[in-house]
Amino acid sequence: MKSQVMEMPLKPVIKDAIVDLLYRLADDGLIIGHRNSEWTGLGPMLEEDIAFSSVAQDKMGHALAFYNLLLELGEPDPDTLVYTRTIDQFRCASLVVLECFANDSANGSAMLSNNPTRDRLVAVGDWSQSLVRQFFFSEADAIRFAALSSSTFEPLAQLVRKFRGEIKYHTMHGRAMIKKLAATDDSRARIQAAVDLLWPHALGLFEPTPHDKTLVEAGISPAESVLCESWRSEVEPLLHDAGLQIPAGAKPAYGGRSCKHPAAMKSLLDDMQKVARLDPGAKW
Amino acid sequence: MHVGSVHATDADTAILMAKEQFARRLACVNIWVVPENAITATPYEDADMFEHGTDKSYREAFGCTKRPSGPRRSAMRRKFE
Repeated sequence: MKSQVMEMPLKPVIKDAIVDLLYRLADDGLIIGHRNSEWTGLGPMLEEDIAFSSVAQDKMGHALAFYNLLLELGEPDPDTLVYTRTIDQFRCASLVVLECFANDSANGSAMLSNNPTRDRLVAVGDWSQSLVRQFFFSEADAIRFAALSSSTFEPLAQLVRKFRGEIKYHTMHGRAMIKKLAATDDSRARIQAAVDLLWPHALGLFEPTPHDKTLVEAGISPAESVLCESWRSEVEPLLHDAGLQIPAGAKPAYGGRSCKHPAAMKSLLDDMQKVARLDPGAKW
Repeated sequence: MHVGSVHATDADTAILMAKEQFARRLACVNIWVVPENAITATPYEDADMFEHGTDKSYREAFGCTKRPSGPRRSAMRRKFE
């Protein structure tokens, strides 16, 4: 498909806002896809391992589509963006960056000396955190993409409409798993602990940006605060019905949209960019 | 058509798992699940009753391919050449 984007005359202020929005969407998808793919082969059971890895692949696919849209708007190509950007150039929210380790994670094992991330996941990985994160994120995707599917920026609207079926599965998966796991005492305690830990970061998905006003006025995207309210009105009853408590008075974890990340972002990029850094510009 | 088995605690979870085990590649519009204890099956020792004693490949539709008819086909060819 030839670029429709370039045929649209965009005012610089609007183009800047769209570029920022696309970076946020793409980086969130890339990083949560990467994090969830770390579980591939280590999931709690074969079927769920495959299902969870599929969701990770879907998110990678969404990220690639957003990066390709950025390319059409004059930004560098997807490989350059993923493999060469530095930590202060990513605009993902903290929710997707966090490592999902249990509290007693001081000592990882050393089974595979060339893959410390895998070793730590095997030793002290907390799948309930990854699951709750994906549940929160999928609900946010569903709300955000539904809104963006009527965006005045038509290339973006067309793209997210194509993702609707996949997102439907993601939310179905998340909701079913949360409900089942909240049904027994032990698993409910684990899910609740993950909810308590991740709630401020989930609210941080909707960090306001200086571009919000432009995006709203141009009909490109609703304001982050509006999306956050929709998300809460969807997620809170689901948690409540599952017998889970909604953390009160949580302060949203902001910073990701202005490229300030938790410490775990450094090791994530070290992992993700490891091979590319060994031989920059190599042809594959 | 039965495509495979999954481990699951209940029917809803089985559907959730089956979607990603069996509908990742080929086109799919619907999935159904049945608990193993509701299935009555033939014994594997009786597999020979499914073998054909004579050539019945005429029952297989694999030989048919979708192909545009003559004039239309050449029109399509012209388009791509």
